[in-house]
Amino acid sequence: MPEVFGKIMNLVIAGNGGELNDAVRRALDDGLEAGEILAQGLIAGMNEVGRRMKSGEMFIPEVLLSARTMQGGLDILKPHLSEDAASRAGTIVIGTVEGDLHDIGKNLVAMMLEGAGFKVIDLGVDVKAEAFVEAIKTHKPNLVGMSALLTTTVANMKKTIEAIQEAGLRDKVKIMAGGAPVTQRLVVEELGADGYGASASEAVDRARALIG
Amino acid sequence: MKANYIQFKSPQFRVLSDKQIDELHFASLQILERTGVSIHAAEALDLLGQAGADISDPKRVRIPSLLVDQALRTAPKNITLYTVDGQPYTHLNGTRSYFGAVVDQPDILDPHTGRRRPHTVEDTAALVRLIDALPNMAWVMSSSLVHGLPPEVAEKVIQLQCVMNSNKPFASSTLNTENLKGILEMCYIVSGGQANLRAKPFYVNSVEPTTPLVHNRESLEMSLICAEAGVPNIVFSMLMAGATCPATPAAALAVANAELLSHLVVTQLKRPGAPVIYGAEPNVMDMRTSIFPYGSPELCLWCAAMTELTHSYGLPMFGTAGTTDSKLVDAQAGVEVTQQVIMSVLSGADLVHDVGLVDHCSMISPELMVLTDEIVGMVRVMTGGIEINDETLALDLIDRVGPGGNFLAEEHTLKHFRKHWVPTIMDRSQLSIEETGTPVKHCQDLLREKTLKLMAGHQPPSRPEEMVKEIKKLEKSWFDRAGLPYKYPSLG
Repeated sequence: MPEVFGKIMNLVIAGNGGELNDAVRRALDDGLEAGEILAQGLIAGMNEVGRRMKSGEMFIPEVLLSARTMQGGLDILKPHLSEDAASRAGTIVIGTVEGDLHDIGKNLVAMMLEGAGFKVIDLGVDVKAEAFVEAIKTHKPNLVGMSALLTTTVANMKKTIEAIQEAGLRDKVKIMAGGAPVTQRLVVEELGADGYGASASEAVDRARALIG
Repeated sequence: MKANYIQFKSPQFRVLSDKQIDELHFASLQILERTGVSIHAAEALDLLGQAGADISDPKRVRIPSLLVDQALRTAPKNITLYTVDGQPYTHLNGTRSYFGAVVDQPDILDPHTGRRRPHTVEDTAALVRLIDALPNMAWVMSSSLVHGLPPEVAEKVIQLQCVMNSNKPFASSTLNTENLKGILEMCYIVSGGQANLRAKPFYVNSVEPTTPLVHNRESLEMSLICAEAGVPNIVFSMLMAGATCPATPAAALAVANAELLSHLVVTQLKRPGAPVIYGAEPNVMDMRTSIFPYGSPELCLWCAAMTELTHSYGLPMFGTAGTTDSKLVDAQAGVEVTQQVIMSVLSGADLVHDVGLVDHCSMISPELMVLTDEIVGMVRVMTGGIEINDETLALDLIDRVGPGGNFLAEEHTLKHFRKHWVPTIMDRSQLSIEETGTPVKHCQDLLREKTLKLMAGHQPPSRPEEMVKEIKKLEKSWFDRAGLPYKYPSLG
């Protein structure tokens, strides 16, 4: 494996955007394949960041800096990437459910997934069930992620899943749910979703596991 | 009688100087005039617009300081909560900290088994009775979380348990205006009408802004209903430094205060004199695990600062204590709760909530309530004053007993020793099992025993038969409307 991939990985981990962008450009100029730079350099770097986040060695603001750094590199690679390479990890439609304006957790998960090479369509907050369904039809994601902080709005998670079912799309997507009032038991037994993560650092692993 | 004599009745505690409080106040005014707040309810927007706020962009409503000054002038400075049967009970005017425990969460840490399991309506009733029995728990707080019932029904059923199992005042973190109206309907049955409840409130509502600087629709609409009905309303902000507000405490306090002041403006515009209880939980965000860590020392200090800011306005402070991030009632729980209780009492937070919550608010533990009750007793003694007078100096006695004598059998000792604090669940036994062969009862054993005993033995107050019938009829209507059979779900 070319040495430059290791260097790119470390620059992502260190959150050094300026030097990372230079390294990515140089790699392209040297004739390395964009998809390989993405997978072996950028995503590999974020995988290590994810591991360090789970073990408590890296803290969230540092993780976000790495994610932003990775995004900078990805932007340089995009014109050179084939459509599938750009979203090779998967595509997810994510949003905070109707009636709920809390979004920090969701934003964190979105950033972690982007860092892992997912294409993320973030619908924002207070997202109606119909809007989730429309987004699934438009973007054809593998995954749908729902977030809620309020106990009332957990009911809207169920409503959203039912709407997806009614639209005949339930078997086309895997559904993940998270947020403070949500638990593993609730998600799988009562809501009928497919996956749950207690924190953003678990989200990437769960997402990958669900896609299989 | 000594001239010009000052006696401290408690340790003198300050986090912030007067000037620092002013600085925070002005910073919040700046936030309101420059950055503004997001207002999601039409009536609130209208009230603000009529009063002179800039509502051209509802996501950044800019509020002039004049409106804040007016609101601070009309907000009541002396709120008393009553028992359910009409006796004055908690005086929220900065003179004492009243601790309240929570009676519902998705799960309960069952004191019989020591294991986690889903929480039921019966559990809630038992917890309310426990709080009724505990001398240092003054009120009950709840939300809408029980097994097997949808939140809209659960919430009202939980308030009913509060009314039926204790006389202590209760508060709910109400879901929406529909539920608030349902809860008030029940309260009016108990009080005998709206005017009686307004005069002697035993129920308090609670709302939260969405930090930073967003007032969501439900919280505003509920506050307006409370303002009109004269129901005391807690408004409190929870902030995660570095996430929903800047990572520095001064900014956290300024943001919280801006949210609370703007909310206060709305309620006072609706009805000058509407009773408001003011508070915030400024805290760090744990940047490894992303939780809001209730056990952090920062929460204790920053709440104490918030208390001083709140009291500078003459308003009662909604504080936080008695809750742990631990999943057990263990050393971590003991440490975290004790620092919270000490800082709450020293700063004088008035209505202090969250007692009994374990695993950063996902589980309720009756044992933690009993432990916290004990800690509160201890801390009250620890934060008392020392009275110096002839009787307490006892110079004649010292002289009579003389060097090398002892005071055990003295009348003075007999008279005063009972004021010394006696633990109910702390182990002070002398000999260990190695020496006597008898197992020592450790704190966790004594705690469990006391908890189970109180939960089994305490008799709740009785209510008049007519009142119970009417309340039950109302309760049935809630189940009917939700299409549910009229019974409390049990664990299958």
